[in-house]
Amino acid sequence: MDAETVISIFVGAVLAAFSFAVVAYAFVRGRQPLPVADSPPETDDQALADIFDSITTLDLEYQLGRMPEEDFQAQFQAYRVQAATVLRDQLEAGRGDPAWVLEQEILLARGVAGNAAVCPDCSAAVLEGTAACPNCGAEMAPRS
Amino acid sequence: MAELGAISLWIALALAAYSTIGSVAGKLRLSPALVDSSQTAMYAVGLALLTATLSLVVAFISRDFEIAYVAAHSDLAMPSRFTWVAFYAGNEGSLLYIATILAIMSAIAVWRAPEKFKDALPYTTAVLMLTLTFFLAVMAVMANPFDKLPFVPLDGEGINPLLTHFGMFFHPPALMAGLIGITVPFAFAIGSLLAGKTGDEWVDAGRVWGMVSWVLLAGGLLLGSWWAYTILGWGGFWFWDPVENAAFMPWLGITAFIHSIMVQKRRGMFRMWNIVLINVAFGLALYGMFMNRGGSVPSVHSFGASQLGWVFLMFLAIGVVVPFAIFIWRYPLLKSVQNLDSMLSREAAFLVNNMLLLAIAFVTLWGTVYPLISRLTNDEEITVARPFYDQVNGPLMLGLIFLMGIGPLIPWRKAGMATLRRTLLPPAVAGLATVAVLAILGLHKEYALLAFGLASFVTGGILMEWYRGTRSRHRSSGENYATAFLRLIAANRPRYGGYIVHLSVVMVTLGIVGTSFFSTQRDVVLSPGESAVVEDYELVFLGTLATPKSNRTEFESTVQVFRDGDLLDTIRTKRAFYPSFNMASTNAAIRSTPIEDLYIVPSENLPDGSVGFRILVNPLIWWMWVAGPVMVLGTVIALWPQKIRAPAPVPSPRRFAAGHRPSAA
Repeated sequence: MDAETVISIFVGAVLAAFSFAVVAYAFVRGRQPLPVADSPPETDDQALADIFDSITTLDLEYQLGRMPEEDFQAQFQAYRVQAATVLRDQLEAGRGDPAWVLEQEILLARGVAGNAAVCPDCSAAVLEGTAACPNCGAEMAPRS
Repeated sequence: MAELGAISLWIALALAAYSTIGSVAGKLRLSPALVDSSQTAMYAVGLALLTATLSLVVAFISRDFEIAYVAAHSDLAMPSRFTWVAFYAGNEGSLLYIATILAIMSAIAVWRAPEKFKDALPYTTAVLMLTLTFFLAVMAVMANPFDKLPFVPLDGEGINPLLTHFGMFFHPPALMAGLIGITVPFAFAIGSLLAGKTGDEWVDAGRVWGMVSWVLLAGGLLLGSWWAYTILGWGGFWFWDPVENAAFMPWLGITAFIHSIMVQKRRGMFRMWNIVLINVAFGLALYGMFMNRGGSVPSVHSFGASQLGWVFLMFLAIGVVVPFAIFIWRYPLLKSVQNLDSMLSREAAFLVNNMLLLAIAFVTLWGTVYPLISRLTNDEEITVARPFYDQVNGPLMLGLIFLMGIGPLIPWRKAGMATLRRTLLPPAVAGLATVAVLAILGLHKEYALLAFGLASFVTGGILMEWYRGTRSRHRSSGENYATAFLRLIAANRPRYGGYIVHLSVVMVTLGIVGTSFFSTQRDVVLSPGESAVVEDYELVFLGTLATPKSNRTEFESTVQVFRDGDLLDTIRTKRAFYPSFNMASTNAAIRSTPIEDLYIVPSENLPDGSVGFRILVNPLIWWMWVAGPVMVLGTVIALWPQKIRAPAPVPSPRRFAAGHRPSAA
């Protein structure tokens, strides 16, 4: 056997040993249990995305006249509290960008008074009076 | 190096098989350690395959002719830069390349999988690793790139001359990566079904990896066309060759998928349809790989007589039947959360777009397999040629371009007539004006007029969207127009990246229409000093210089190009003869401008010094090659990660009970 063959076999053996070690390592160290199917972990951003999704839907319902203002305000308040909680948790945990959190809180606060608009193109929630959607740039039609 | 490569291959096979079984067993037995271990094994497969790849590269660089694959695909005269091409020039090396790419993509996909998908991830890992196990097993048993010869030859057989072209550095690897890349979104879809997560959890990963496969396939197809155009010497770029079709069909399938998945992402619709589409795309990708490796139709692209055909055919059958069985099993759970509100909506446009894409794929499939069917049924092989594809696919493609123009402009859910008028009128005017101007200028070919009109319609719509968005930002924030435009694109990358990709498709359309309807071809034999006239070019052949090289003789012919008596250019075109392959390769001389290409290729060098030339004037084909980088740019923009800010779902008329915690589905 020449030197190259010996080195090749040696490197191959090291690769095999390394592979075995990393595969076996999972059984040696402790690990959190697998997540349960019905409760997938959510990040702050995903939670906020869900809440904004619902707020947008709610606002559209209200704008289309399918929901009395009383119900709208009640549900909106509930979502606002949920969103504020997530944002607060995010800030407290030092994860969020304070400017972004503030922006969202203003959006929510303005929305309580019924002033949030919906982009006609991408449906993002947009502050009333904004000329262009900050998400997609579409022109915002004046609210009738 | 042969030993290290072979050992690495077997380690990779063992790890992939372990990862497949361990992922499923760990998930079913709720054993987190086993699931973790299987996932780590998947990462280790990548390491083992990179080691095998490196071993083969070193073997090529050191010209280790003891390895049969190296001896078959290189020789001492081969420049080192072609090592990369030689690596995948044959069955064994290309399988190793495919396996390595799949291992790398799998590792990245699983590592970057969305948090909400983690529950189904073990099944996705299993699907990915099962596919990889197949490739590794085929390699280990039937096509091992590290098999040794019983003796060491003094020199190798050399690389196929047709592969010594710049385009070959990217065309085959991009196509192979694109074909195998479809496994990733497919694995997310099937993993989702197996885990009973029949909502939208897999959509983000499916979309991203679908687009990665899409751009690889599109880039590979364009580069292949460019390669054919510049080196094959017939002046065209697409022959409807069975193996070209085999790469084109999965591209159609994945194009339908990446559009349709957007509807699921935005509206929670088309859940069943998207599963069907990704299954179809995966099946077509497997068919493409089967055709490359011993498919029953001979082609310039296939790896010669290969014994692997039946193995890939079996894998194709399993890869089509099993996923559809899983789909049928989970069918009752696959309910969309929304229904189609109106046929005048973006989602309806996407649906029709899907139908057209699948229709083109079906027509192409039919044309590809028809020779086989006719041979089986009539004992007579009837080949379907270009006129069939042009006549059937041409109108379908025009319909597709029309939809590409209106789809992005009409709103989700339902479009009112006022909205349609506001958004569609300007591009429609642009399209009609283009048709009118061209007709006045004397262009009277209906299909070409229609295609140019549609191209103008699509471009007009995109430019209008850009202008409106930029103007809005400029007015609302005071940004200058350039900043406003860039920030507009950055604010919604998937959308504006998609527009850029659409523009590149328009460019491809221009090239296809220009060459299909307005190309001029002339075949002439010229002696030194003689000239020929094609369109408004006069070509003067000066002479040929023959240069013997180590493995070939090169004939370089020099031609002067005049127009209106003025010398425009002096161009040189090459033809090389490789005695060991008994094969000639050509390098066309192309004078390329955005208006037209002057294309000259020597088809024959005669003993008396005269040369047979094929001369073509191909209008607008320049746009086709420029489309490639534009397409990649658009896809990169569309895929560039964007921090989740105010999300932009489409409102739906759902009601929530007060205080109910909404879900994304």
